[in-house]
Amino acid sequence: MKLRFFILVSTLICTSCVPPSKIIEMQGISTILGFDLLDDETYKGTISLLQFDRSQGKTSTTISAEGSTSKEIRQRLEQQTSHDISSGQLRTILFDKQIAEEGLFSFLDTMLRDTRINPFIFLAITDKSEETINSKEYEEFPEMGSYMYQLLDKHEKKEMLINSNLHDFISALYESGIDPTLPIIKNIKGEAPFIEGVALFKDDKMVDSISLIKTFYIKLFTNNNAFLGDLTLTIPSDKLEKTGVLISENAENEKYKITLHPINYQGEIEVVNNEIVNLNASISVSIIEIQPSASIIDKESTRKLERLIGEELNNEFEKILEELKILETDPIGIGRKIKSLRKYTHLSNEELSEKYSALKIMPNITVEIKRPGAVN
Amino acid sequence: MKSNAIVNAFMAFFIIHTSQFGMGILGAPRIVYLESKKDAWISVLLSGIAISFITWIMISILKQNENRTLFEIHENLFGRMFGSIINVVIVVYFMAVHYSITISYVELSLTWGYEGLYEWVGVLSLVLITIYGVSGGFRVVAGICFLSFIIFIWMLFVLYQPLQSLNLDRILPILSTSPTEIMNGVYKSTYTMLGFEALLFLFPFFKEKNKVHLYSQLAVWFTTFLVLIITIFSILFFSSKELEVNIWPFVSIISTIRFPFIERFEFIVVSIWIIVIFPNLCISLFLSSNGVKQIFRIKQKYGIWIISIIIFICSFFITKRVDNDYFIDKVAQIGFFLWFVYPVVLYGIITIKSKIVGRS
Repeated sequence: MKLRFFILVSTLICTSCVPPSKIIEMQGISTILGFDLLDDETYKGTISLLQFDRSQGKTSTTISAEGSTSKEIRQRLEQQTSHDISSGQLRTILFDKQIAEEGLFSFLDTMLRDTRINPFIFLAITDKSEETINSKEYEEFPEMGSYMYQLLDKHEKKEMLINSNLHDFISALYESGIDPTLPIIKNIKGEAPFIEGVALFKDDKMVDSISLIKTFYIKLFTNNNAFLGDLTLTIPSDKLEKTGVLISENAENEKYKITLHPINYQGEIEVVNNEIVNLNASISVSIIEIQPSASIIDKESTRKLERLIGEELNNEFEKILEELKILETDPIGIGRKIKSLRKYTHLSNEELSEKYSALKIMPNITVEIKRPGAVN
Repeated sequence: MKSNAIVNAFMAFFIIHTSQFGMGILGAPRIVYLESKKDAWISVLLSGIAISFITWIMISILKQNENRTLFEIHENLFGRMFGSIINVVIVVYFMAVHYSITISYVELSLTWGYEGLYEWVGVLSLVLITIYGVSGGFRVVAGICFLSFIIFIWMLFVLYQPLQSLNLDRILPILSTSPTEIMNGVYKSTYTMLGFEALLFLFPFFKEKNKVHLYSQLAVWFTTFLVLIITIFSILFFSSKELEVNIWPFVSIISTIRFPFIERFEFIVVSIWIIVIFPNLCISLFLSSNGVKQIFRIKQKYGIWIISIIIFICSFFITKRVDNDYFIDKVAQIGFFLWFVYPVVLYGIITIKSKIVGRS
């Protein structure tokens, strides 16, 4: 009995033999990390550290260091602070455009190996990450890292941004037949950094960017369960008149603007045959704004309006698809869908991208107007 | 012969299931995926069918030798000398299993949170707690299995969160790999599935012997089901290259789970996993010390201490990832021949012998 008690006690003691304890006052909690390319081999890393020392007025400091790998930069950053830099609360990593154009993959290796880094960390592209992190404009948040995280998180959940965290990025990067996207952060003096657009990648290299609003179409097919942002369409009034929508009498505008709020949607990539791929999507929307005011009265006019909106969306989507095809990037994942078919499953990456540029991609978006708001 | 039946038959479900389910599952999706790619789940299913069949064979062997463990069957069948040689092999196998579980858990916890700790500290704490569990006898081991099951099983429900990251296109087309690759996958899945062999040694401890078969089948099918679910989940969750590089895909899936009150859920899971592997450790130590008792005719508690000391000494030598990998791979290979092939052979020998004895 005595022996068993001894064993139990030593089990408890053994588990306390953990490596150096971490005291919160000693921690420099990094919340945002940015990389800039200086020349061929050297990068500059900048971090913002959250500090818990009450006696100091400011809640954060930013420090920068140069080095050739991200861990080397980290070591040199440690030289500049008495705090222990920890990356458990790291929420955002920024890359400048040059690095993005040369390829991000070499940076991501360390993020995967390090288990302290959360897979939900956001990645973003900016012009000069050092300046962005050093910017003093961050609304009411204590420091830049928290602001940036809230900005990206809110946008991903509520607006049009495609998932852009580390896990999604790596997942898309490693998969054949889909290319990743990342948000672009713009920093202007005197303003809080904001999202400017979305960067398109071919493999791990940034090739171009599109506006945030256009990612609506990509999100339709890549994520089944996301929120889509509102969509504003401009429709010439003569077209609108044909649908039988009651236009207010005194208005003599040539164009009408309609803002739609998607309620739910379903997107599906359909491979018809060797050359044609259909992108079928159905969106149910509610109308939240028509300028100038007009009213939708009967079933017939609703159906006509639905068709009209659908056409408008298809036209715009077609343009975007053309653009993507020229850039040879496939953020929608058409290649992945093709590869999941038995006929094409053995295609290599090169063959797949060749096939992609030869494809005829037909957008086919149908819209259903669920409700026109509180007024008819 | 005195009967030492001390636990109910339904406990067979918990004992066999928990002794199968452990460290293997964390890495199994990757190991199987490396062989049979998108059809890894078919390999798992086939392996489940094979195990179900072998469980039936095992029960048939045991029915003819009620109240005997495999160690005693060996002595009875091959004589004291030759039987003991086979028993030594089995004891060494269980020691190797014990060490492979210990070291892989220690390695996991060093990667997720306890970096910088010496391996032997981790091994020592696991070894001590296992001695504590096994010293209580079989009834305590059975209790540990039951509790471990209850404590673990809720964890499956947190998997609702990564559901939205799944992509069905990743598993299609079904059956795109060759039969050879699928069979290789079956072979590789054995390390995860092993553990059902405990039945051969624990059968005398169960009360209602005719019900044990039913509960063992339930246990192996439940394990197959869990492994199948986790494998399919991993295939749908990761893109192919990503799955090939993640050493513990299951932990990586868990790491995308978060709650408002806890951000890094995987650290909790890695810590709780000690409860999942605890039955594995207890059963392998119990069986190997039982074997030592049978071979050398000494008290079981000496066996427990000798084996634990050997395990502890090992922890100074086999600690690197590559060595561990090699070691676990070898354990899996030997396990395959011992428990997938050997029971069938043994069944053949026993049937032939009983025919000869019956005739004369």
